[in-house]
Amino acid sequence: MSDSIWDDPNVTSYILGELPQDEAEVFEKRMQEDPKLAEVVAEARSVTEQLQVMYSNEENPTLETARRENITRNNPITSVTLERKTTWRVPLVLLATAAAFLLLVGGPLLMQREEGRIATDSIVPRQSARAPMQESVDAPQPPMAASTSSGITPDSPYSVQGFPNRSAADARFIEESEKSPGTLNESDMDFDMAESAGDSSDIYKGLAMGSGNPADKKIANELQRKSALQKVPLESAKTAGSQQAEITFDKATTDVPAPSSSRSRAEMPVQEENSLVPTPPETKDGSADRDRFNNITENQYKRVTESPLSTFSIDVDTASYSKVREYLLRQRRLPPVDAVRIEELVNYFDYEYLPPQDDAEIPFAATAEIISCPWNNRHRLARIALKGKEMQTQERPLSNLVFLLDTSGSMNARNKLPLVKQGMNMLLSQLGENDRVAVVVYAGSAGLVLDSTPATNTREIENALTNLAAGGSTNGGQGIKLAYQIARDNFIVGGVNRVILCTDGDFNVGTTGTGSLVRMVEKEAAGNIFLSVLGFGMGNHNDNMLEQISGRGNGNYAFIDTEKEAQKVLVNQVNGTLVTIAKDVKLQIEFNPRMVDSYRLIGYENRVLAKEDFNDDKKDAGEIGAGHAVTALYELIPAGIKNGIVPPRVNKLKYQSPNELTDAANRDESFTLKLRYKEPEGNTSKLHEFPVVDNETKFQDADHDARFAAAVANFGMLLRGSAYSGDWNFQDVIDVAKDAKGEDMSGLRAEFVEMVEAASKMQ
Amino acid sequence: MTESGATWPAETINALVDRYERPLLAYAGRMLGGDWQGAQDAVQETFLRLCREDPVKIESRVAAWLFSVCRTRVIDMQRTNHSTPFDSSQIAVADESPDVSAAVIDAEDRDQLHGLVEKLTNRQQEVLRLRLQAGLSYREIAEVTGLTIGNVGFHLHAAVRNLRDSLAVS
Repeated sequence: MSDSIWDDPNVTSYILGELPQDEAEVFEKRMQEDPKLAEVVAEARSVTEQLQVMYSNEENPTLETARRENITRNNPITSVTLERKTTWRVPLVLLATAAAFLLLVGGPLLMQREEGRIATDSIVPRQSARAPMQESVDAPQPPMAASTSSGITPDSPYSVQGFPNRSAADARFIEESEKSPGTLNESDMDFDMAESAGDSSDIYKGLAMGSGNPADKKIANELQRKSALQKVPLESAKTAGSQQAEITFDKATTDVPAPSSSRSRAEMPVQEENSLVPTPPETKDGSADRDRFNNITENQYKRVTESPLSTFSIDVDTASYSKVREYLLRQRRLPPVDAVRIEELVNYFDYEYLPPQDDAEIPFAATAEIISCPWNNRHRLARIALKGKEMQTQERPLSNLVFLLDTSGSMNARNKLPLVKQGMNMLLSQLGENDRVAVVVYAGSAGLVLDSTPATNTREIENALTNLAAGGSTNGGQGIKLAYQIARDNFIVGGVNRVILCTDGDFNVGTTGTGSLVRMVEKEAAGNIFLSVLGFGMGNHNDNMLEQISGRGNGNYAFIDTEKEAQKVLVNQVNGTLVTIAKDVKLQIEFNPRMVDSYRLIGYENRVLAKEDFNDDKKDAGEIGAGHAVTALYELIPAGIKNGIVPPRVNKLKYQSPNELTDAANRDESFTLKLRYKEPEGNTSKLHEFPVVDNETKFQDADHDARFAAAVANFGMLLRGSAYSGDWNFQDVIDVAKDAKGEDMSGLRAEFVEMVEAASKMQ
Repeated sequence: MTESGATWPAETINALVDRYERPLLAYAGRMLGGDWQGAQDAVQETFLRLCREDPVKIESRVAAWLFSVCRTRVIDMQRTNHSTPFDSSQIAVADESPDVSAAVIDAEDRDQLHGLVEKLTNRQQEVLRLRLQAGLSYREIAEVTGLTIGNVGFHLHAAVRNLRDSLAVS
């Protein structure tokens, strides 16, 4: 009976969204008329959903580090130099575990090796306890042979090569810990075992070939810097009985055993229940740490004579701060360097900047002042502060919100989907009867869970939320299209029209690719539907992409790790989160060479713009929400102060002479601040500018907000291992922060002090 | 230098690798009967070719392009690799490793489904994976496999139908 219905391939095409619009409509009509067809569709849908879950639960390998490096350097034959500078550290626990593993496994492992046992072409049955050993036997064992004569910080516990069993896990660990100091869960470990030796052998090959590469030096310096910053007595690992924990790569001298045929480890099975395998520490939510952060290269000092203009976009994101807090206070480890975006740390806090007058023409107030730099007493510190117009809840324009919720399997964790729901409920409590809310989910296939509904219709909304469950893989591409569609359908002219993406990270864009996603987000932002991103949970967080799309989508990006953070973002600052009062806000500072020799913008690395972009209204920049405060800090070297940290001058030009000073340079202005912004729905920017004079204010006489912001900025530099943190250490940060805490109604500043204390214990 | 003179920005390449490395490796690994090292080779080669390819030409169809190139590469490898036969009954596959934290409850169901998928024809398995794991559209799958779009729909539906029948029986 239903068999003949099953003959129709349109059933599957319909479920997979492959039918053209008109055919799909016809099909739906047929379904309404024919309950049997509807039943078949339901059954087929159930099958595809199960399949999706199955595929999404596949733990598939990523490319081996060495191969990936090859690709990124776009060169098929080159050697591997491992020049990425970030975090070569591995958390203590890992090393300790590794050392313990050596004790347990190292012996038998070596014996096997002596027996010349090689796992050629062996296909080891699943769950065999031998699997990882054969793995390691097969792989080169450089730590044993490696010399410690390298200049690369032989005693740095953070150099990753401390792994006793170099074969399996560590190549991957390098990869992982580059991204963030890695913790892997068991299944990941299994994977590494399976994937294994190809990594290391390639790496070693590369290393052998790559000696003499200038990148080596760079690594050495980097590691030295790191170890100076974060020297930890690794007693536990040492006593666990291995010098392994200290052995480092020495590219010049490492004797690299030739890797054996790759086939031999090609199909290493996954093994699951082997007590000999070290269980790496799990992250809080039990997921592997695959957070991805973009590399940040710190801003350098620039000479005013050579680069008189400094241009950047504002950034009100705060995600980096919550992320760092999650690392320090909950996971109890130092965050990866690139997770620390200093401007986001500074901008996390409420500052008591005065908002603009009610009748002010500009929707935000801008001020700047110059105080002495606390970590370098010959330098000055310029603080630029913007404060968005505040808005009472009753003044807030009507909102048309579409929540785009990631309900893929990975959201199934305490600090993810449940927190999303909680956060949404909090936000709903802030909305009124004329605000509208819709919910779109994506997981495998996208779907509309709740069509746009008045926000006061709490029962319906709560029902929809309660029935959400995590499962399936992620197809964000379709989801986001649908979300924008709903937002457009319910567009409120002059209101807040916003898609709010809640995800734990990997935003799988389907077949479209990141580029077209970004273009779509930009296009919709141009049509006044903005995008905000709320990140949840650790472990698979594609920080880079989320920051990018929220930036292009004229939205903000917050990372919600706790109920308290949800409260901050969705209740206390709900107007700032929802209502944009000025968009594409750019700053350009022109320094006066008579007063300032050099300057350095602290943070905002990925927000720096070319000077030409300032007047180019097509260039996107950051937004300010209602009541948002934005702070930017510059460290200034006054004219006439000698210093060793500014890059050397370039040679005099042969065909041109340097600009002459204008009359204005004779004024005592240190710089002129120029601001450009657009009205939330405008397309042309407005310019606002004012000069700033250094009144010789001492740091201790500055207001507590300025001092606190300076402490936060320096903390960021310390976490990043910056060369510019001057003579401060964590204790100085603590002292100043405590002193400058002010009223601290929210308790956030006290929490900051707690974080610094935690970090200082981890150094 | 590519034809239009354009090259891929590093961040695009990075993003593409991030996005596609897993589905490509899964796809290649499966086609190579579990030779994960071979899969690594094939996928690396695919991305390296991508770097050399003119972005202007393929920007609009990167996914299909990647899978096509990877597929061709895999088939080449199978041709030259025939000297190393393997016993397909013993192939260990990575996708059998469940996520420990989440898996306990439905592990059995999934293993069952997994077993059933294994029994499908290679063609059906391939289109399923391309569609449900890699997220390719019918049109893109057609481009990758050389089937017609209608054929792709037919194979997919047949796969779904078979699975539904087997699930109903068991």
